[in-house]
Amino acid sequence: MPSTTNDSNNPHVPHPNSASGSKLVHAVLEEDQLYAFKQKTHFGRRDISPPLNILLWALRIYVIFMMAIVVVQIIRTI
Amino acid sequence: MAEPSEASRNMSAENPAGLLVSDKTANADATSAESLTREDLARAQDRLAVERARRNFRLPASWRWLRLLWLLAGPGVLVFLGENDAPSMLSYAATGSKFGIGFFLPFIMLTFAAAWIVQEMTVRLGAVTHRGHAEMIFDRFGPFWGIFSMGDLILGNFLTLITEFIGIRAGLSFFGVPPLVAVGGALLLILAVTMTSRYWTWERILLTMALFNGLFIPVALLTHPNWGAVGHALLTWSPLPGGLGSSNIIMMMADIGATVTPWMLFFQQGATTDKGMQPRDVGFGRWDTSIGTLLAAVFGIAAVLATVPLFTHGISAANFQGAQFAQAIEPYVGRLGSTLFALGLVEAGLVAAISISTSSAYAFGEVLHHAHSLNRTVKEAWPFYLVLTGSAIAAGAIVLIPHAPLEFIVIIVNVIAVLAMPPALLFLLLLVNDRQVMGDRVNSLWLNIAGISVTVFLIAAGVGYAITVVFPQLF
Repeated sequence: MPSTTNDSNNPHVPHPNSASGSKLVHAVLEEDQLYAFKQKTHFGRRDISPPLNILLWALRIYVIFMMAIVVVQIIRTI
Repeated sequence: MAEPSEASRNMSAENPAGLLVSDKTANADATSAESLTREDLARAQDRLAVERARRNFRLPASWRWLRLLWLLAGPGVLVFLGENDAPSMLSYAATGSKFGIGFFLPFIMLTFAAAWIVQEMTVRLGAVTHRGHAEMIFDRFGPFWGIFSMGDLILGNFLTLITEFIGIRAGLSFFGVPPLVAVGGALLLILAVTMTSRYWTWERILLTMALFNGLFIPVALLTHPNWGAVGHALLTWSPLPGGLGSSNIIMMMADIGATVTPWMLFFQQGATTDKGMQPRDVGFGRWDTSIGTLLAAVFGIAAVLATVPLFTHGISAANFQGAQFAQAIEPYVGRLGSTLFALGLVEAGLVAAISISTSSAYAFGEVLHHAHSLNRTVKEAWPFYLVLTGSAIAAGAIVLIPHAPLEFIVIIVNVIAVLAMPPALLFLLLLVNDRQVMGDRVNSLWLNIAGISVTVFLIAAGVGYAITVVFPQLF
């Protein structure tokens, strides 16, 4: 555990390039929690099978249809 | 160097080609000390407090557990008390005044159970991947489906934000505050809370504000509820008075939309990530979500009970707006009760406005790969803060437009939330069942059954609503 006097409630954050700051970050955060890591690495695309594609489209059409229903109801109410 | 997360380890093991795709333009070590940011340091400070609490063996185990819960709770309580927002509390108030307690008390409990099932998945997803919900959808399903998902979120969030300002305006009008002052003051408060540049501070301020959602409890108590009848209603679940008529179905939709909405997915996963939660914190995340569910359910039911006297005395509240509920219940709860009701509406609107605009800002930042953390200063993450404050300002401005159709927006916003939910739930279920992303923390069979049941329930509610609109003669 790094020795630091900073408390979690302390709004004064050490400078990113300071030795204590770097030591603290690398001791308690997982690598993929670091901002630079997340900026430069991304999850790859998953395979979308035909049945899954149909399901995604079906729910998309459902939402579009339902939004049209909402518009109809608003017009009727007005 | 810090250890890779469970998600990274699983990805490396199961996908030799590497599920994590590196940006080919990167020419430096992504995690070198030089590239550390204020966001990393602030998050590390929060994590240090958690690690210290976890290893503080001088404390009894129960105290250590409570200390950890204190440090790790937040996103779950906030998302549920944020969802007990102005239109939700108005929906509950309308429910109590129109139907009493027979059918809707257990129905509301059921919707909160459904919401818990959904939100627990976002905690796991955020803690394991350390990524926000929008980013995960874009990464795993591509921009085509991601843009649809964002479209649903943006529309729903903006309409809901408008209703929050309607609630704030209505609540403050009870005290004679002019609309411009009410909306302007709320915006200033939102700006002040979000400009702390520290997630922890923001979270604790918002949690404190959110606890005032409990103002509906004393209002309910002032109506002297028949607790035997309340207990009987919860245990027996009476039939829906008037059957499945059009207005009844819309009321049911509004109450579902008061607990299960797309912004909650984006918010809780974003906040879990911003808080720096890790896979071993998931148990505390579940407790956080459970506490939030329980508090929101109790406060929501209190809002129903607060307006039951209107039902008992046959007073029609069909066309009531926010402040009118407070005025209408005054003969039964006194000036104190109606004042608390109006203040509760203001609180509900304020907390939700902050939470919802934050969820929009998280999603934009994740998709555009801009800095998107409340641990950043405005200068460092100005696009994030611009979306956060800009959406709130735009929504507040619409509320001030004379003759804007605000009543329609209030009625329809929860319905839209329910209708947009099934595709959002499909993405969520696919992500939490993705072993390459979640490793061993994929959904269990029972969680999948529960998640699919919630999705089918929401689709059925949407279809029922469509039938009442297309074939009104049937009802």
